Amino acid sequence: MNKHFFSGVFMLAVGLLLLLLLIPYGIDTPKKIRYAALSPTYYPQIVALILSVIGAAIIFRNRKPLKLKETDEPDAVHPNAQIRIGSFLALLAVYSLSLEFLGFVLSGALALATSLILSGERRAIIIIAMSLLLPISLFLFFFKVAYVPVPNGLLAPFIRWI
Amino acid sequence: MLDALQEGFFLFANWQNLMLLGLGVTIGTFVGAVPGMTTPMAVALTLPFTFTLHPVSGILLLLGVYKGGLYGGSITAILIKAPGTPAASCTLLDGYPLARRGEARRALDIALYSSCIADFISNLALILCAGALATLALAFGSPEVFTLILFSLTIIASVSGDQLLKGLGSAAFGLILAVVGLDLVYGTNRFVFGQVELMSGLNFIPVLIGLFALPEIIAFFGRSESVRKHNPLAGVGATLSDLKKTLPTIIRGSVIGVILGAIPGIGGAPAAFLSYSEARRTSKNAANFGKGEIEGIAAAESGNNGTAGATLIPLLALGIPGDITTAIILGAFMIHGLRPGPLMFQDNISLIYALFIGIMMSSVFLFVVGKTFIRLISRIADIPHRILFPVVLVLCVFGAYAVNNTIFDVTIMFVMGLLGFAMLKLQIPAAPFLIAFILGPMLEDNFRQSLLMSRGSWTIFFSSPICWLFWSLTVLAVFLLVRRNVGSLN
Repeated sequence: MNKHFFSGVFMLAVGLLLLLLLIPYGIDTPKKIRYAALSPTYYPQIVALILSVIGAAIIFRNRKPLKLKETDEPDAVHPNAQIRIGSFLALLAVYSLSLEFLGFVLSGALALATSLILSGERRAIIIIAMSLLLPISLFLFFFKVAYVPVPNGLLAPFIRWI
Repeated sequence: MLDALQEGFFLFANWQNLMLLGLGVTIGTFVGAVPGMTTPMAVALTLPFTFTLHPVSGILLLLGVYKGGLYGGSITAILIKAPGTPAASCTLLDGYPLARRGEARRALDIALYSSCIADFISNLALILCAGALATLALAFGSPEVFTLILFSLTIIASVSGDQLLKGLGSAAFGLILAVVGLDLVYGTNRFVFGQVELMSGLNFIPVLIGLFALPEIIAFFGRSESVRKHNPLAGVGATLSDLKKTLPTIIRGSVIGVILGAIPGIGGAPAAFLSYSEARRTSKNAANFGKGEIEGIAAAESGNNGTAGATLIPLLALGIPGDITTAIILGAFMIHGLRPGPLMFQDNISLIYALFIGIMMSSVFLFVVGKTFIRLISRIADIPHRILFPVVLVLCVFGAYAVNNTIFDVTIMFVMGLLGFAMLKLQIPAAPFLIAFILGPMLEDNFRQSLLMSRGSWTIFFSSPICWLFWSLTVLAVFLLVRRNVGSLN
């Protein structure tokens, strides 16, 4: 089976999930509706139905195995591609969870340093300078110029005087 | 009239006005280029500085920010695939592929030229045709807007490439995600699942950044960084022949922008997409669209910036703000004791002329500021990806947070990034998702408002010549697209 087939399965699955579960339980419908077309579920149901039909059509058209047309050229794929992508996704998860606790500057600096190393940058001066300067500059711009209350996390006691 | 024009000229002609207009365009361009910083945000932040200024100076400063912001959104869309504004997301479809080929400067130049020409045409329309366009705009009710958006959605088939079915499926995902939030008619929850942050729906900017910039970064970690192939156009700006080639597209896009901009509530994004769709439909290079075609950039930017002056038509002629930014500008008028509308043309005509002169000058400032910016920032595309992408990641996090000051938006961006990466791996085109997500709320809102007006009767969608015009265009577009794509459905 190929990517097209899996795309079809994915769309059909999401469409059916919407029709059978998410729309009935995820959308609050008033008891009395004057016109059916005005119901909060009417439009999402149409879209979900279309999605399911498209998914089924893609499955039908790709039921026989096809030769794959790859996005990346074979020589462009990194030898440790899966490890690198997996590590980066783990980094994204940690980065996302640490934003509130560590604050944007500290978590940004750590995420930047880690991702620079992961991406293959080895010059310490670049890694340190970028990791410090970028999050601090962005913090100062958003906090002082745009008045965006960026969370400071652990650095809050030190940043208060700015 | 000549006396009033002369008086208006004297009101405008001083260094302070010129400097403030230039400053406004610079601020707007910079802010528009920062993902997460929106033009309405920049105009709102600038508003307090206008309180002590002369009304002409203050309003020109705000108009400068507005116009700069419209253009600035395209810069990061082209360079790092992170659109600063929803309308700029159309520019990235061709801008980013060009930047990846090393032709960032050419792409940025074309975006700037298209923006300036479209802005100029839009300003002319504001000055010369405000009355006629305001009348046309008033003829657009919910049914007309519904049919217009439906017609705009036919672009989905164009941007799906050779995978029409997958493109339509991707669009259906976009339409369903656009539904999240409070229901417009009954005020009930839709896909909120107890999350208060979801009640206002998913914000455009985190979704756009997540869908386009993040998958690119994730995919980078799966690739070896290769030495770029030599491209003779690398680092070279757009030529006169590029401009000549794109000029008809720019003019058509500007006209589309002017017409849609004059209709309150439409905004730049539908204009950009409709202009793009029309350009692709009529272009000899239709197959190159989405792969780095300068006509695509010209169409998107001219459609977007064509709305700049036209959005002021309902504001100045009728006192109706066309979008959030012009609503803030309306506030600035009122703070200075002015009330836009027909009476202002009687009571403050010299001030109107002064503003018109300033608005025309803003196109010149946009060109000068844009050219300076391009010289400085086009080199961003030359930064090695191993450094650029981690930097973009941090920039995206700050940008996604800044829109609503909530970490929830950052989470949404990460989730959309994962979805975008899955779509990339499954070869599902992301552009139809984006178009549907942006146009979806307008489609549904106007669909339901129309049915409310007609007490549930569907005949309202066929009640005016404008509706019939857009139905005919939609049927024609679908017919042509099906005929073209029938052999390559997937």
